[in-house]
Amino acid sequence: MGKARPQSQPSSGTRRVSVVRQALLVGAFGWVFALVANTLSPRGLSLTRDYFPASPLPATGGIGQATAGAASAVETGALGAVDQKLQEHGLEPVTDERMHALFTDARYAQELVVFIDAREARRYQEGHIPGAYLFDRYRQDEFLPSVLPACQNAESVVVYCNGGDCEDSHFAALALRDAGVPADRLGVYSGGILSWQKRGYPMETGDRGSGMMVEGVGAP
Amino acid sequence: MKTKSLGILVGLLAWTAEVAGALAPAGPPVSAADAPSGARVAFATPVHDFGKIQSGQVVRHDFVFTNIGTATLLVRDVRPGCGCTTAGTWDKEVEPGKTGKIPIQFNAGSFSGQVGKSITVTCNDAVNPSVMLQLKANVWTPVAVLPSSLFFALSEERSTNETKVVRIVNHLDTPLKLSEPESDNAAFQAVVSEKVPGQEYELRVTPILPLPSPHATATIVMKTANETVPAVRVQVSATMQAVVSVFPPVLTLPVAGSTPVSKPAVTLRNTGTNVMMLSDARVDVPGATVDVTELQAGRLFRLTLTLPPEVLLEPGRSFALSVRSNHPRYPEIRVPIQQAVRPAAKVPLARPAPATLPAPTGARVKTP
Repeated sequence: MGKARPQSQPSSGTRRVSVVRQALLVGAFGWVFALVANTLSPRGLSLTRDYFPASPLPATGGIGQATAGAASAVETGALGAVDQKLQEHGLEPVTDERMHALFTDARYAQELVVFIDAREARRYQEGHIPGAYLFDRYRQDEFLPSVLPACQNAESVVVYCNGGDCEDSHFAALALRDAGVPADRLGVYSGGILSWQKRGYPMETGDRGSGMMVEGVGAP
Repeated sequence: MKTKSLGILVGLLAWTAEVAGALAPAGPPVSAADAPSGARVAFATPVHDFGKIQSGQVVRHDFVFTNIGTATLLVRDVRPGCGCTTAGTWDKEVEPGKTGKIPIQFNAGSFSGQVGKSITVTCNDAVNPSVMLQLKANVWTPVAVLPSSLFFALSEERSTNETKVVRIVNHLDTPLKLSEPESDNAAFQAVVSEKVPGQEYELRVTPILPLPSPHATATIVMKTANETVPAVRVQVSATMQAVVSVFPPVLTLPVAGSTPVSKPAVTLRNTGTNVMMLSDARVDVPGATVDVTELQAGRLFRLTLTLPPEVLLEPGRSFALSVRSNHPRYPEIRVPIQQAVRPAAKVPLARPAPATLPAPTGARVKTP
């Protein structure tokens, strides 16, 4: 009688191939199942959407819209672009600290430093930097005759609007430059009234010189 | 082995479902039972891209939102970030499950390139009381007008007509032909010349003196045969400035009893044809003195007051700073002096108020 042949054992290489094959099969089945479930689900993920965009823009859809925090991020992002545009036109960007220093400078009371508010009249009345002149840049023909003498006699003129992605101050400064105010005397407060208010600096309501003062109460 | 594979499969599916559930954006509620408590706002999309638009074009978009909560949603304020963006009448109260809209208009004006503008919406959503909406556009300028408007600050004594130049550059694929310029105010003369055939023009604008009024405006129009840009417009304005101007026109002293933080000063500017000389500067405030500094020979002067401590102007009496000049039309220049009143009590911010007009300016110059 011959000896029974021993049962052939798969080699270790064959076992590895088999495990890998099964793993791939399980993975593929899992992904197919997940894709089908995702497609059928009313809360499924969009495969083409970028859920983590590099830009700080608010995410689309749902109740998770950008809040005030995200707004600041948007403003910060826009700030750099606005400053860059200012410098391209030879206009000096003015920081919060510099703006406040100019406000407390004795020359501000002498109107040798002049602030120009480039927002519309309604916003100006709600609150502006005390002593700032109203210069609605969309009605500049109406305001220029009264604002220009103040700018011509000043050593420094700083224009502001809301801040962030607002460019009204930028355009207003260019209009003043085109009207004859030397560019080297013109600056733009990039932070704008929102940043001024957020820092708790004083604000005046109503007309220029109304004496109706309010303290900054943080961003609206 | 099969059991292990099944286990891995179940685990993988469970993990996938968990991740999908965590990342899924919150959408409209599947049922009323899922609705979050209170008022909750959900915008279909808080970002709108107008795509490619022309400079000067006015475009509109309605942002649609849903109240996915259980209480009435109150949209209290819609505040655009700049004057180029305006909000129309929006739905202020939206019941649970209902939708509302916020119409927004964007004026591309003189923008160019990529533009992003934000709008802040304030509502009674306890989780998102302040929602940021965003408009995007790629503003294209088919015909550039540089600068887009002109302003002339004219002097009464200088009768020489000043001319300013506007460059008009065609960015269209086809050549542009401009018609002769037409001004809607005869006080401005305009002449156009072609610098680069079909591509670049130069518009020369000259105010014709004397102006019919101290402030004059005009729109200068040049027609084209192009459908995209049927006409090119340039806004022009001119103001006749006084030969001698004083700024500020009224000197305001600090509140009675307070210590002045600076010396009040006025700037006097001469835009006439002759050099000006000043003499005999006086101020009739008791104890005060005045110094004259010539900043630019014959043209620009600063008159600075030195006040006694805690100055108090006698009520009912008028005070002034005065100086003599060699100008025959302005032998004496007087600047009224007033005292500031104590600031009013603090008032709440963001109260509604009517529109305002700029304060009148101009020196009170005593003429013979």
